[in-house]
Amino acid sequence: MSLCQNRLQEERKQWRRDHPFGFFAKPQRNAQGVLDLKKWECGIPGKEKTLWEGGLFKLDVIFPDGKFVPPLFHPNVYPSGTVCLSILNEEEGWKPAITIKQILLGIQALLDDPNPESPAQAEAYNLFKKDPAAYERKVKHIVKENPAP
Amino acid sequence: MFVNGFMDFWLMGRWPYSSQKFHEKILLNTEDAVALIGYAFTSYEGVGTDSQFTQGAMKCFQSWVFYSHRAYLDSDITLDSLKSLTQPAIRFLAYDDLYPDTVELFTDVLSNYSKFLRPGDVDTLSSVLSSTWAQDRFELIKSGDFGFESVQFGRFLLAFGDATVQDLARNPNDPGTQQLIRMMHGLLTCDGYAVAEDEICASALEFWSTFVEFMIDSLFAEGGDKAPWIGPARRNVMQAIEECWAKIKVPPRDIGASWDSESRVGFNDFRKDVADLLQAAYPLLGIEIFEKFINLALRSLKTQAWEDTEATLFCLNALSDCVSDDTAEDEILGTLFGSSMFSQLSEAAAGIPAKTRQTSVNMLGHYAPFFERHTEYLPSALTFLFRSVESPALARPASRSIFSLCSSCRKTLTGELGAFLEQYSRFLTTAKGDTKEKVLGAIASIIQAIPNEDAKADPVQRLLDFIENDVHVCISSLGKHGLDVAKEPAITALRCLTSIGKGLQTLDDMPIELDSETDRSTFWDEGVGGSIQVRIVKIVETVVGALGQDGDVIEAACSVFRAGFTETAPGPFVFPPAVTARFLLGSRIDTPRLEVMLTTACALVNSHSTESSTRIGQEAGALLKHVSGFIHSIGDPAHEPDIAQNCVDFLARLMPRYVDIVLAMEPKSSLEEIFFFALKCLTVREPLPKRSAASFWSSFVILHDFPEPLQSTINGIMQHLGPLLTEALITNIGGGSARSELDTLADPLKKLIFRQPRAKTWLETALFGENFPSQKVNASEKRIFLQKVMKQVSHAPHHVE
Repeated sequence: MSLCQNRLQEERKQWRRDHPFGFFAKPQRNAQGVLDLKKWECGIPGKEKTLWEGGLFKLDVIFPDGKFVPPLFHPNVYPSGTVCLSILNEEEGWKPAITIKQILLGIQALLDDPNPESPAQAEAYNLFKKDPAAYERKVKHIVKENPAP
Repeated sequence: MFVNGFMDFWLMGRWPYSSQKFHEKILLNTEDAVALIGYAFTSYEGVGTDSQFTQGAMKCFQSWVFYSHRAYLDSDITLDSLKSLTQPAIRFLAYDDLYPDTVELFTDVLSNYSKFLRPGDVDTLSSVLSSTWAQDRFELIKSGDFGFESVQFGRFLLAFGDATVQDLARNPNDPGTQQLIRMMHGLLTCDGYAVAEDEICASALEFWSTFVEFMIDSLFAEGGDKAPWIGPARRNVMQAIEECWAKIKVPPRDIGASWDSESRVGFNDFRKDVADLLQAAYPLLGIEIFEKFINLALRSLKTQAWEDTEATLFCLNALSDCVSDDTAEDEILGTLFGSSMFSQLSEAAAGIPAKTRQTSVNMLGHYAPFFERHTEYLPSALTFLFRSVESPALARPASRSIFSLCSSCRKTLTGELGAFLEQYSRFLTTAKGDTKEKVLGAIASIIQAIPNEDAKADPVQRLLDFIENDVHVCISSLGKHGLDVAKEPAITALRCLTSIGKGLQTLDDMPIELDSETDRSTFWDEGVGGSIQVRIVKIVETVVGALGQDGDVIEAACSVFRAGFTETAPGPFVFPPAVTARFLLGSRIDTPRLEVMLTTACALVNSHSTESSTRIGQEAGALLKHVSGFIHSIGDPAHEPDIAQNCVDFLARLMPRYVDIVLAMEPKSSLEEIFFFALKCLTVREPLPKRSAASFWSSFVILHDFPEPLQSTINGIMQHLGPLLTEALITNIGGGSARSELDTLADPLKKLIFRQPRAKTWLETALFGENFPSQKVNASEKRIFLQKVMKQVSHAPHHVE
């Protein structure tokens, strides 16, 4: 088993042992049912007592990049769905030791606390900046469309 | 204790020395520590005597073991003498005073550093776990004692299982293994609801997931499927799944309602983990487990055991992506879908829990491909769903399943259209916005499957009747109750219209007719078809006319037009570009959510940007003039960065196909204004206009091989603006923009160097000019930069001479 596979196997173990409530993260399976440890299918719930509460947003992680599927309406999510999170950026905060738990918790925190310095999509960014009430309505609609089970 | 504190201090990462040096120093002290701890261990005289000294020693041993793990990871140093303390330490598990620290130590070692244990230690732990002491502890947790020490024991047992999972799977005939496996099963069947009460089942589930993963890995290894242990291991997995099934049964309503949110989420997470285990185990268990669940579902339905039914259907939903479309699986599934299931679950008076109905409703969406193959089961399934959609608690999942089934089986359902439209009108009285959207989209997808365009007209008109009715109600409420009340139904009406438009879209996997140009249907251009298009646009215009001062309404209106943009064949929502352009030209600088109007204009141009699409020169020209009006009003992009960005985005979309339209713009002052505006966007602080401008210039600087005089005009603009563009880019790259923007800004620069022969001169001027933003870069560094970027020229494929 390669070093990377080992590291990811450990990651999987750690996640199983201790993962935050309401999140899910599992390596994808190929046609034979064998796990592909580099590609994870994850779900991030909206934090309680925020606009995003009640929603569950699907994210594909191909280590260490995260991509919302389908692309999420959020100022720091690119139109392609890729997340713009500083801890995922090599120059800013990414370390090899970063865990999937940290990534997902980081993205969950970002949901309700967008970084206006780093806009990724115009639609959500402009609304967030110019018309907060409309932004809130839109987020609520998106939460309804992506309900947590 | 110094020995202990010393270790903890280091483990906290505060030790000032490099780890290698430190580990070597510590190695020298190990013998002393071992002697000291060993002395404390041997001095313990059993129950009733003072255990404080030994407890301290145990904590100290724990710190040393953790440290030895660190030393092993950092420098491959093993502190072998420590291992002599393992056997005496194991002995302390049986003493109540020493149990908590000891069990914690061994749980940690087994979970994280099992290499520390020698084979003999593992054997000793194994015999401890088969002793009566362990049995007693096991019975406690099994009977629902989830006190701290009890759960500690459960975790210890599971950690041992996890560390020895390979042996547990491979030695099914060993009595010790059998005993441990029995306990692993036992931890899945403790009393109490998962997570809310039972604190160990989630960890036990993890063990079984590891067990399954090990089996799958072995199975795919060469000849793995012939190993004699696979059979018994497989039976164990089957049993574990049955145990999980019992654990995922939902509690009665009053119990569930008394749980706090953490318990509820935890219980649902456990169910999700069980679904994962099922999916992981399916390659091992195959059709057998599937058949088992189907039979279980039939039995539970017969005895009206609704919680059992729910748990079973939940498991079947989890398996929906795993089961193949083979005849065998389909036959088994047919026994359930052909049973009285739907009629039974539709009985309102039967006291069926909402959750059971909800899971069954979800099931129909999960198994949509089955209904595609076996349309004979569709009518009863859809009747059930339409009945469910009337119940508020089920409306949302039912509408989703209706959408999924109708969309998948559209071809076979065309005969049922009349009945569905009827059902929809019944459901209207209770329907909420998002469920209406889904059901209308579902019906529209069936209409899409009607082979003749003219036969689509009538049902589409029926759907539009519904929408018009909603619009009428909302417009009349506007007069009475004002915008705030009328707005919601107006948006819903437009979203429903969009949903119909999306439902009518051709499926991606349909064959594309390459010679479609010759026999394209003209039905939607004129006559009845044309009047339907007019009707749709009228609905949008009516709503926008009445409530256009609201941004959400504008956004919803734009979505209606966008529903037809991706279509390659004509259809009711594929409007002539002039119609869409007319709507967009109605926008003004003060239109709320003007950005959405502009992105819709971008999308319109984009859908006509390839050579194979129809050219829309006239509309592009009109929209360009309109956009240039906005640019003129804004003046400086920093005033309205959002609109500025969308305007520049629009300009970028016009490249390269409509460059002639851009360059033919009159008056010439407007043309100059838009180019300078695109340049200014590169220098604003906001990243988004900058990004759009970079993209515009990337497309513009590479324009080549256009017929004359167009190419000369392009070249002329570049000669004129090239120095300014280069300066703007260098100002950004030289420190004027954030690191994350550099990739975007480097792109036009690269293209400029590839394509423009005077790029080097421009670059030199920009680098050594007065406006270079940083004082920290000296002349020789600038020169090196210039040389490096110019090297790329040698790789340039074409060069404008």
